[in-house]
Amino acid sequence: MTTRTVDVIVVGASLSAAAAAKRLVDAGLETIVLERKELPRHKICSGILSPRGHRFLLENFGPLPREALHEPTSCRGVTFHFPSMVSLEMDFFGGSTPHLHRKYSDYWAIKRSGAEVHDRTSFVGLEDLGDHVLVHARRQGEPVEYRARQVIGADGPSSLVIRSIYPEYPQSIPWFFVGQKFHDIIDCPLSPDYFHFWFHPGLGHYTWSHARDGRQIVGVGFKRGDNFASKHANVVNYLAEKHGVRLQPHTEDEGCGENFGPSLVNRYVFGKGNVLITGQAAGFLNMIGEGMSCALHSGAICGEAVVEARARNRPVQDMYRRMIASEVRRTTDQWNPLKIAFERPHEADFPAALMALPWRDRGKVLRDMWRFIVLYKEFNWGRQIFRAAMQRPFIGGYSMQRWL
Amino acid sequence: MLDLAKSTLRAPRDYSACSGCNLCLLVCPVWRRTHDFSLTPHGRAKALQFGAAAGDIAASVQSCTLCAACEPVCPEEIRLVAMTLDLRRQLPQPAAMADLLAGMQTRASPSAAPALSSATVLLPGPALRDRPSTLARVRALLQRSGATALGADDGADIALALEAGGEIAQRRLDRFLRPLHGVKKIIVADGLLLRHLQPLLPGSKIIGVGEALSGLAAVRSALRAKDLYVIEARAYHADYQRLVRYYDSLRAAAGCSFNLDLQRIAIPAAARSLPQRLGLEAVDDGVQLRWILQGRKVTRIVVESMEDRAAFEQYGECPVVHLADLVDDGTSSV
Amino acid sequence: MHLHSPAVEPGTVGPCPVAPDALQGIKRQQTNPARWNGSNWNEFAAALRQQGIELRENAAARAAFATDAGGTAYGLAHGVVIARNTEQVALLLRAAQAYRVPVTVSGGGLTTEGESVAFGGVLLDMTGMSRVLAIDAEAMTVRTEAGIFWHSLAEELRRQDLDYLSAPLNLTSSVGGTLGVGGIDVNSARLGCSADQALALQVVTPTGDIVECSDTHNAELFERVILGYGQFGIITAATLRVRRYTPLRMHYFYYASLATAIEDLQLIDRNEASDYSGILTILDCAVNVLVAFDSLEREAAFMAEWRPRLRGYGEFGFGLRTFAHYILRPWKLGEAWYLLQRKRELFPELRRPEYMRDGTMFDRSVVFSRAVWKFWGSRQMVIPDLATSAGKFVEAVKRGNAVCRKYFPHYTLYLVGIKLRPEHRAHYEMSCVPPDAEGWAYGCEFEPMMDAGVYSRDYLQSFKNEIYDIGVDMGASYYRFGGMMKGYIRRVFGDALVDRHLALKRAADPAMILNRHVIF
Repeated sequence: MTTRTVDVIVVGASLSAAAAAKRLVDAGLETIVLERKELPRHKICSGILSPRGHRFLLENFGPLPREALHEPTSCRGVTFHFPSMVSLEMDFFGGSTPHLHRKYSDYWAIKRSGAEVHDRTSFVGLEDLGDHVLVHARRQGEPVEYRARQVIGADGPSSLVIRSIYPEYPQSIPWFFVGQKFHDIIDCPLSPDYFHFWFHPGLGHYTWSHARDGRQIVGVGFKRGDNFASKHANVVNYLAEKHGVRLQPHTEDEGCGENFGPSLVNRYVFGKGNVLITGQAAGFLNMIGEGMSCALHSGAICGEAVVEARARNRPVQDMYRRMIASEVRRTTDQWNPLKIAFERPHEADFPAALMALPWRDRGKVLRDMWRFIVLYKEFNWGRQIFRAAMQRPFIGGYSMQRWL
Repeated sequence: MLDLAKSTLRAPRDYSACSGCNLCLLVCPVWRRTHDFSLTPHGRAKALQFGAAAGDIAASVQSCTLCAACEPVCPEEIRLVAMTLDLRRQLPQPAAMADLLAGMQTRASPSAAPALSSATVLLPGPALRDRPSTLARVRALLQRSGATALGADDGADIALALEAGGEIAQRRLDRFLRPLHGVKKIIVADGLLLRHLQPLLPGSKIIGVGEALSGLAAVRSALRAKDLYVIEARAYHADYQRLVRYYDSLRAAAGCSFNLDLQRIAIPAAARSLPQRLGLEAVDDGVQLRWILQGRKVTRIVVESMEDRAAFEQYGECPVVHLADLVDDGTSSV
Repeated sequence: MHLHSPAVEPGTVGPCPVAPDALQGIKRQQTNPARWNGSNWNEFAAALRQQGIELRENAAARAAFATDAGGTAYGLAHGVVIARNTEQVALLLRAAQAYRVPVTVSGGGLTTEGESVAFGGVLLDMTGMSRVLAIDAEAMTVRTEAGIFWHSLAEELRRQDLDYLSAPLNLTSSVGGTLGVGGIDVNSARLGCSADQALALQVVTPTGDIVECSDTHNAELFERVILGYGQFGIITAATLRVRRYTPLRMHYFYYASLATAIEDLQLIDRNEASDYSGILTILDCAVNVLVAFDSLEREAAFMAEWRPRLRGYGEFGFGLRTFAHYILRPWKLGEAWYLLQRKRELFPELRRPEYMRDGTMFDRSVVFSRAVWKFWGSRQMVIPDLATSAGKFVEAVKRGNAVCRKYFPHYTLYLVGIKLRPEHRAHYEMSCVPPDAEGWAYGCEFEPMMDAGVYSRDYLQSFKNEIYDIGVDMGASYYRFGGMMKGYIRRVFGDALVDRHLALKRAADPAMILNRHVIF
């Protein structure tokens, strides 16, 4: 077995990995990206990128190739639906955003980053030896070893890199299952231009639907342990009954585990020693459940931190945590009730849409939202969110002490 | 848990603090000669920041003249001389250093040197020792402001080892320093040695030969308005904050001009790379001397150091005198 | 819906395939370029070496140019060439054009948006051409190679008791780089931007022709190269106007209101009451108007005629006023402490005795530039700016100041007027000089004090965008609109003008090799 020595190993070949790799390669650092699957690989995702993420892609990787987009190619905004049958249609700030075909968009981005990519290579474990890290992996079953100054874990919510440095971490946070099924459409009054989201405690913790490639996606997220089939059937029935959505039985389905909590309660995990965690693995997720834009930005910051730490001869963890503070503010602000009430932390104008409603409907929306939030009561996030919101104006951000 | 509130990002005063302002280039004699960015402190710092090792920039590290002009202009206050010497220590020793180090071994023999009883000691260095008549004048002049002993061991080998990044045996260093403990004032001809003695002998006032002589009323009164006074760069930059004021007052008093640029940095005259100092490369002071003299109406050049005197004499534009030669009557008293 | 879509150039983004109205018509570009793919590099390198041009490809040589003074854009050239003479630069460009290899030109490397960072290809280090060629004390001109730092030029001029007219206060901008973008000094309100002092240039065109140009000779090229952001040629030598050197007499007036200070500054400029003028802020409520004079007479005239009309305080008066202000506002003690610290550190630096003789300041550029580097220089530097007509200036500065307050605890604003020369109108097209300015343009740099701090690029970019959005909104221009900020070029100048310049560029540089990622 040979050991390949490089500057940085990035685990995962998603958008955050591409962003990190881009910064590293630009600065002349030899970077290898490890990907478990063969590229291009399938990825479960709504693909609706926020405008900020779109801007990042354009500014860093150039124009998107057509193959990186689904049909419809773009999304105008989000529509919120409430049990009281009030709907709020909100356009994104800055116009439409792409509907990414993650299989090809991720592949395109990682190629554009300029990094060397080793696919079909699964991360097995690592040893941080102070001045370098040994990474063990398997390439098509054969053990391979890499030696790098830093390792970046950009391998998503169920990160193996996190597990190798904090084995107890996955047990310490609540897990959700998010699944989506694809249906041929008989009749669908939901606008294909928008991403639809239901604030309905009876449907699930995260319930959505949107159009893709001539089919309708119906998705639902819930606490791990519940039954996907019955939850999903419940949503389909609800859509049929309340919105007149008529769909064929599903032709495909898929799902994965998700970590919703860290962004809400400022409990991110950024790594240890020479191992950095970024993207959704670190806990970044926007309020509409979109993780791509913060994955791109946190990935880029992770790469910048490695470059800066080397140039300034400073510990990389220290550098990363200082630099990531801006992205933490952006993401956690979206969940901060004070920010939501008095500023506009989101990329669509919820307060304006709300104020455009008749006052009776406003009342209904607020009542429905409260009922929906109560669904999350069991996680005891309320007090933590409150505390984070209160300290935000005083320390100009969110406490770094709560990060792992 | 990392406590970021307490930790500071202020980089250590080494290459990593360089923010790329280029101010060091403006005063660097190697830059003036080559206009090659990679041979400057900034070039070295940037290369190191982006992953180069000492070996990758060896030619640059050896090319530095250690005139230290860059240090006082650096806004990040990077210890540039220490940085260069540190890099030299990481490089393989030049072959010419072997003899020198062998010599140091013999000098490190434990024969105890007697402590110097005089309040003032002069460490002349090889260039001044090679000119006994000038050395005698220097000493005679210094005697005017108090008894001045001549250090038998002037640490010339240590100075050269410092310059080359060689290892200095602790025993040798101890033997050199022992007689100097308790001496009030040490006058050092070698500017690099002067810089390194300051922290080693915190109880002593350590100054250069130029400052010691130009402080004498007799010497000052002999300076003329059309003189170009050439400050020895290494000693000046080693204690810049104090000396920039000192020489400003000398200018006000004597009215002569100096080899100072607009930033009040001394333009080094005899500036030599390490290979040049070790005799491995030919010396070419022309660029520096031409620059010092360009556009100036000078009738006489007054120098502080013997190396500068030799350089200007060889250049031969106008008469050159050492500070000690400004005053006539010095020799008779010796 | 129809989207105006210009032809796709290398390094730019074509019509967005996502949606015609994506990002509400804001034309985003790839501002963090992809590394050039290296095709033909080996053949190109061999061709250079065959012609005796030294090309450095070792990692250390390339690493030395990995970033610029801004410290946020990184990129590695395939090789570095030190410019040695005009013929060599011409050979290099001819080969680059033939092999389609990008050439990025760097002088002092003091760009902040990655304009002098090579994202692959050759980095041409112009500082290798730093000789002063001839000083004509009769005609009051100097001919110099363009890679020279302004301060090095000043050193040479001073040996003949001469000085340049104006240059950026940092000592190490290169002459060529400054003529390519503008350059401001505290005497720009009287003498114009630094580029205005150029009488003639020697330029190597992107196709490798050596052309001498001026307002009367090859005027079109001259117009495009001056303030041309390096798109239309490499300036290898320049003839500049010079003046007699004078030490100067400095005065500082202090204001608690930015708007009042700007009004007074404009009053001074309009009446040419002083020889030097500018504003530096310490805090929003501590604004410093500086004026200086080349002679005792000018100073005396100012004191008699104009000083009484200014609403600023002297140092002592302002000290008293500030003391009273904070005594009544004890919760702002932190701010007062900062102000005091600043005064303790910065003021002595501006009055170092070795630069002062009998109340006059010698070598103001040294004193100010060194203070700039010491107090404002840091590993990361962003200096977004707004350039407006005189009338819009107060509002632009106020709005920009509010953005600074949102992003950084401490920042400095640097404001100066720039006298416009009607006969140079053609030079100013698509430059930092706003099209609606008459007589004077005004520029404000917003410089956060980052010290040893570190920020993500995204945070800094958001800050810059917010400042630049003000410019779009108000119809202003910017001094730094290249590199990472080039997304704003079409927004402020409009497609018609940019497309016209793009067509000129394409004609002048068929392979689009020269400073590829800066503007287009």
